[in-house]
Amino acid sequence: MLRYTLRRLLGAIPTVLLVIVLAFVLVRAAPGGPFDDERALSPEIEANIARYYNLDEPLPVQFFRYLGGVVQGDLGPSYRYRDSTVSGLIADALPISLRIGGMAMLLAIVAGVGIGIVAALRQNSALDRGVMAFAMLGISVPVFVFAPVFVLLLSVKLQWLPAGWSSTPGLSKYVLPVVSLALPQIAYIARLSRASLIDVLSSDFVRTARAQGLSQASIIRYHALKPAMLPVLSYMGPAIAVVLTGSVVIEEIFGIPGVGQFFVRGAMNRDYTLVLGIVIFYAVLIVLLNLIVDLLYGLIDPRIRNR
Amino acid sequence: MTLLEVDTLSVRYPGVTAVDGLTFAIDRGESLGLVGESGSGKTQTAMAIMGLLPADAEVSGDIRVDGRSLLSLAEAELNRVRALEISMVFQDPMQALNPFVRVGDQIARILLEHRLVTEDEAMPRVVDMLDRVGLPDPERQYRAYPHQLSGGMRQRAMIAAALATDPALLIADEPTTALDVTVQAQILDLLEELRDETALLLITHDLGVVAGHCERMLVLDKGARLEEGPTRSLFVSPGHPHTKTLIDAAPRLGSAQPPSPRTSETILAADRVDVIYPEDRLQAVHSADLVLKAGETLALVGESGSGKSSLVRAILGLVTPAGGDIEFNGAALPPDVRQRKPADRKRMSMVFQDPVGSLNPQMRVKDIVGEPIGSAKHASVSATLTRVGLDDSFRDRFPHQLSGGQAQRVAIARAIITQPEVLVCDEAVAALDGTVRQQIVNLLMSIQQDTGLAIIFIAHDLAIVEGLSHQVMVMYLGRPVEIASARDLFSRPGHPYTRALIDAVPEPDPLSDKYSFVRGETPSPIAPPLGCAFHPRCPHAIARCRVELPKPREVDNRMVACHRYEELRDESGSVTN
Repeated sequence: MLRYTLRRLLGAIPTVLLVIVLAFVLVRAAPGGPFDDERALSPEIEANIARYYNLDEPLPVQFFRYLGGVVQGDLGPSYRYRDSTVSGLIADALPISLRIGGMAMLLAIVAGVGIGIVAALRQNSALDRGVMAFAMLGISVPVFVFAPVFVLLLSVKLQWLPAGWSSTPGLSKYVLPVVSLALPQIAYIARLSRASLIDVLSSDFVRTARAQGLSQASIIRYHALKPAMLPVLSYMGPAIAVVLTGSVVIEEIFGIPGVGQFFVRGAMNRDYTLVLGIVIFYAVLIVLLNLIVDLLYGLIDPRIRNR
Repeated sequence: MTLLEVDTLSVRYPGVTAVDGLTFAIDRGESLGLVGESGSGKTQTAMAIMGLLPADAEVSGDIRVDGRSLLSLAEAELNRVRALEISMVFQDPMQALNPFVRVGDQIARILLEHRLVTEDEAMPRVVDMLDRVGLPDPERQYRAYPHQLSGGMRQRAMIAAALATDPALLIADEPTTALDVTVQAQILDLLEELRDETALLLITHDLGVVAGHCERMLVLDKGARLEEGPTRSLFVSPGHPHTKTLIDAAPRLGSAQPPSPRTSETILAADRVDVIYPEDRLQAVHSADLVLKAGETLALVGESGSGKSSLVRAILGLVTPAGGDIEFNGAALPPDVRQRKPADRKRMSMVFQDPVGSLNPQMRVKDIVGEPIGSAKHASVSATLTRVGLDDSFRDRFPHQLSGGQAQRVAIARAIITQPEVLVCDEAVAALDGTVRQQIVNLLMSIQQDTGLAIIFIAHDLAIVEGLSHQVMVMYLGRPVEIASARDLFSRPGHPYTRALIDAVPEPDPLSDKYSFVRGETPSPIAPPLGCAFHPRCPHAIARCRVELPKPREVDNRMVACHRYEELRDESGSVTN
């Protein structure tokens, strides 16, 4: 287990490195620079700023200087938010993003699995067909379409929930962002767990359990649920990535001061280090969460535990 | 006293009648064998009794236990009956046990579900049950997952689960078909020993199993009862010709004289071949020699894990051996099939176990057979199909439109169309019914007579091997333990393992009192025993066998790897027990 973990962590280094290189090149390929949109500066000052931030060096030198910092855990200063480091900005914005992302994942799992089980047990009934049609809708319609529709209906027309973010305490401001973020995941997980449970329920060991006189509830609880959840668990890795990227859109729509909003602003402002820092942070986060998912997989499936 | 009554039971699916007006009864404590070929409705009958038929099955007639009809019971009541009055053991214990749940917990769940024990009592009860079915170290096995047990151990656990509730009737559906021969005998003995007052409905295609373990037998054909009666009298004087065909087709030792050994040139030789699978951390074949003469049939015999399939795969170049040489007609062959010349590759071909699965479902018969020569139109496709007994109407069929026997004929046609010199048959008849099996064997023998084809015939069934092979090579845990002519080997087995294999074949004779002595199962090739690999199961093992690996020796016109061969031979004229 420890060796496997170490091997996976070492194997992730090239992935993260590739992400850094690609992000660096793409950010620099975009026209403009971090200090362009302010009022015109004299060439001397511009040169001074460039020198201060080492932007006058050749790109490869800048890249390795930056990489050297990243390896030591230093994501550099933000070019836009004066006196702030990228690490500091991420640390400030992270709790809100984590809260929303975590709540969305939790909601997606609980609701998705629940709906999936109910649909599987009533396979091909009107309920099953209806739920699955809705799930298809949830998967196909993008977040940036239904989130504004929610706002329009529930906030503007019915006035049940706040339309945007405020610093006042209370849970109501979370409802729309979390539900919007979770909805496609609920739909996908519901379809996945339905198909998986139907598959498990037709396996030989479930037939054995029926022959042993176990009730449907016992069969689900003691025999079918665990194996049926394995595909859902494998999906957690990609799901986390989708929720993270989805949060960028959601935070922008609802005006939530999370990491995603910093990311969008950073990209607009050509805040090179901020964009790069968030990309690297997300890449590492996704790699780690995928590793955790795979380790959990080993815990659930005894056949691969000792591999 | 009647326990189970099946009354004009019919099971129909859209377009198919699986069981057709079947009536029979089982008394308390009685054992009834339900026999028939595949598709005769045996399993469908069992599933109907257990209420486990799929939703599209249409059931008519009645099934009663102690006079109470099962077909009208509510689900909850049926669940009580399933565990407490009737329980079932299935064919494949790997599939039938839940791979995600500890073996002991699966059994405990049954007792808890029916409130036969409290949470605290469950574990000791199950451990006791596992002990009774002969699982060594039952506390540890309680916590084991199914994949950590061997095939035989898994089936013992299934039996423990089935008998844990002390049911009145046990239905066993082909309970030993997926197991090795030496293990099969042990499982059948265990069933016999443990069932006690429990009635047994034993479903099998193997008349040897019925002969030894059932008081009465019922012969099914196309879902209907052909005849029924005491096992002994049906074996002695079968009333229906089909019953007689079934009994005659049952493999039995000594029914066929092995052909005399060949003296022709060696066509294929493997010299000290090692096969290692690094990913599984095991060596499947240890320094195995093999000699095949032109026009000869060499049977390769052994249980799972013996390395027989790995050895022929190395010979065919499908796995690259870790060591050793392979010579074909006196010239060395490259180890990897991709480095072999196409002409050389065509001189060896193969027929696999699963007849339908080894044919591409999207290709027509003529394309399958024509593929090795690159043309379905060639005249030899028709000629070869005729040779294997299939007329031109089969040319345009797809594999799913073929029966098992027909599919295997197509596979043979595909294998012989290149006019090979060596044909490897890997358990090629194991999946077929008795009568069909004999037809395929006859076909192979007649092709051999016509063409002088040499055959390597991999089998675990010694009775099949006896009638068709010139030479027999017995393997155990990756090593050849005995090589002899079929005549010598069957009349006088030299290695105790050979003897064990012969003794374990169930005899289709209710009066036989054959006794199988061998215990346990083949150990894992990952951690083979020191010394002679067979010593933990051998009744003749002495201290030397536990430490020193017996070298293969040439004695009495045979190769045998046993320290005590001479002693055991001199004691009794043959190696007996």
